[in-house]
Amino acid sequence: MIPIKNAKEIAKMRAVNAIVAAAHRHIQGYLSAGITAKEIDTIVEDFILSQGAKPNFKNLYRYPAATCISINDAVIHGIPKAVALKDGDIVSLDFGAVLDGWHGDAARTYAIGSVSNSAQRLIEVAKECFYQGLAEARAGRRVGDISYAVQAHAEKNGCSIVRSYSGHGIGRRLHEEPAIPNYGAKGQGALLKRGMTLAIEPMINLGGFEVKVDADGWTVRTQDGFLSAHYENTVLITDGEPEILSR
Amino acid sequence: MSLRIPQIGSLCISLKGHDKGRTYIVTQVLSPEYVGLCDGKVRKLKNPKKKRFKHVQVLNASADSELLKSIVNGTAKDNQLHKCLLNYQKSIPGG
Repeated sequence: MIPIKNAKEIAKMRAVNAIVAAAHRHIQGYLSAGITAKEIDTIVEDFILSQGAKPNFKNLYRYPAATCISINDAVIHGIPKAVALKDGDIVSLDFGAVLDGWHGDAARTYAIGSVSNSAQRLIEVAKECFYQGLAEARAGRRVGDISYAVQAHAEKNGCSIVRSYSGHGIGRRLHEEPAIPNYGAKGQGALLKRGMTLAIEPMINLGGFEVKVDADGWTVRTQDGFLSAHYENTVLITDGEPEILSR
Repeated sequence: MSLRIPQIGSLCISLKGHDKGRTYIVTQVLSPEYVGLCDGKVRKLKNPKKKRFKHVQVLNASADSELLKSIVNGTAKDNQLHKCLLNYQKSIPGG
């Protein structure tokens, strides 16, 4: 059963997602060569706490940090370590917050210093894929319409889609129904209705779609070592244009 | 935080229920918790078995790229799934 949120609940989701969006804006000022993933994690966690919310990744499924920081060939779920970012790296920051029992979630991939043209393009394609998917996120359409739009745009641009991880419904829990795969066929999957809140999150690779998990049990990397980018927002389905709550 | 989902086209084996031990192909991801499974014989594409993801073990094998594409596009045939599973059974020791 996919939860439908009422006006009061949506207001709470707007509030928590505004904090997540503000945290992304806040951390951008710190992102440069030399800062460590661990330091980024601390800055984001402190910011979220200062806004009266709590990081919702921490301890979820025993995940040990407030943020997922995935560098270069790491796709998602990178555990922040005391490793300094270097000029030319790309880094995906994925984090969320919970406020009054309601969850928010967003991810962005950032370039550190000057990156290669292909890395820059990858970051742009991940963002474009999100917006292609967003265009299908309307009442009356289906999850597969989002999935197809994301996949088509990625593949048209010579990138591949990570298949074994997906977006998800979000609300009272970080992970709710439905799953939002980034690949699929039009017209398939759950029907979208007004009041649903979804985390749409394309994960795009420069090489093949296959991924592997590090020995830490969390960090997901591309199997061929090529770069990966991630872009995510929490979205509200309405009768008209979808609303990005974590903008 | 992304959600780990079974990959469409993955072969898996049922760990719980009356069908315990039966092999299937994942044909649908219904939700973060549930998948749709078919074997092309007992469970056909028109009537996939809805099962909790945690009640299956994903095997280190998957449908070939052509079959995967047809599953995603909805054009796969039951006999193709059945043949894929038979080939897998033959490929394992004692299969």
